[in-house]
Amino acid sequence: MPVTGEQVTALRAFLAFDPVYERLTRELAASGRWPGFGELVYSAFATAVRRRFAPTWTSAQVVRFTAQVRNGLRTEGVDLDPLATEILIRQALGERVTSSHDDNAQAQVMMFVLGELMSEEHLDESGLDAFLAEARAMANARLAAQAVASGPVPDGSWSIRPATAAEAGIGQISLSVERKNFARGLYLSEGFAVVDASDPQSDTMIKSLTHGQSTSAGKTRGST
Amino acid sequence: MPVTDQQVAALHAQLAGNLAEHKRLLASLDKKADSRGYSALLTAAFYTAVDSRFTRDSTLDEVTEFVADIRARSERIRDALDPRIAERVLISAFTNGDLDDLAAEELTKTKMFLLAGIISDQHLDAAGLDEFIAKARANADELLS
Repeated sequence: MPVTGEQVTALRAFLAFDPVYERLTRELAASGRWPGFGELVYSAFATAVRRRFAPTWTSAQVVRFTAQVRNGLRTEGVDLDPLATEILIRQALGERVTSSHDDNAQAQVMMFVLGELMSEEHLDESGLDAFLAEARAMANARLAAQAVASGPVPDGSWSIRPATAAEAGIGQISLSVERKNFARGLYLSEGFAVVDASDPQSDTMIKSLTHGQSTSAGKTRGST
Repeated sequence: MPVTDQQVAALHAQLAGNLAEHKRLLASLDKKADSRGYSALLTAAFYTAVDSRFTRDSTLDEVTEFVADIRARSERIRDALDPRIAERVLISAFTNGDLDDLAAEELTKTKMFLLAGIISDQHLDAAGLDEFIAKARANADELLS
C-alpha cells in the first residue's frame, strides 16, 4: 500500500516543527494507519542526507557532521548514538554497511538527524512540498519493491518475484529503470548492478541470485 | 623495575609514525617481563599528552569534536575507535572518571589512538618528541616505583 496523504501531512508537521505532529502521529498509530509511515520517514531521511552530502562525500565528512549534530542535540538532553548515526548516513548514501543497532536507536537517529538537516535547508513552503514529494516517491518505490520481493505482484510490472526466481533455479534477474527514478538507488543498494547504460534515459540492471556467482542462466525482466 | 630503553624505543617509533619499526620493536618485547613497564609507559604518555591538550575546563563538546577529528583521518581509525568509548577515556583522564567496565584491550587500543592523535597534532620535531617521551618515561618510572 502506498504512502497516504495523512502520513505525508504528519511528516510535514514534524519537518515544519509544528507541535501538531505529535497528535497526528499518535492518531496514525492508534488507528492502524501507520504502515508505510516508517518507509516515508526513512525516505525523507535518505533524501535529506543525499541533498546534504551527494554526489561526492567522504567518510570524514560523515564523522564530523555526526559529531556536530551530537553536540547540537546534547544541549537539548539528547545523546545520539554516533555509530548508529554514521552507519545510517553511509547506508543512505549507498554504502553497503550493516548496522547492529536496534530499530529504536535507528528511528531516533533518523528523526533527529532529519530535523537537523531540514533546519539547515531553510526550506520555504514550496521547497518543503517538493522535498516531501521526493521522499514520498522514494518511499512508494521502496514499498513497491518490498511487495515484489515478499508478496503479491502489485502492478504486474514484474513477471516473477526474486525469491520465486531463486527457488526456480534462475541465476539472475534484470530490470530497466529510468535514471531519474529514485528506485534506481534502492536497486543499487539491494545488489543490482548496471550492465547497460547505453540508453539516454534508463539503465538495465542485473542482480545475481546465486550469491557471488555471475551467471546468465535464466532471466526475468521487470520495468519501473 | 623501571621502564627499559627497548620499551621507550617501541613507543618512540610509533609516535614518530614509523609503524614498521614500532611493530618490530613491539614484537621483540617479552610479553611477560615487559608487559608492566610498557603498559605504564603508555599510560604515562597518554596522561602526559592529554594534559597538554585538555584542561579540567574542557567541555564534552570539545572532546567530541577532537575524537571526530581523529576518526576522520582514515576509515581504519574510524572503524577501530569507538567514539563514545574514546570520549569517556579522554574525559576520565582529566576528571578521574571510572573506566572499570572497559576491557583492558579496548582501553589500551583507545589510548594508543588518542595518544597518537594528540602527538600528531603537536607536530613535534625530533627534539620535541624526545622531550615528551622523557617526560612520559619519568612519570612511568614514578608509577612503577
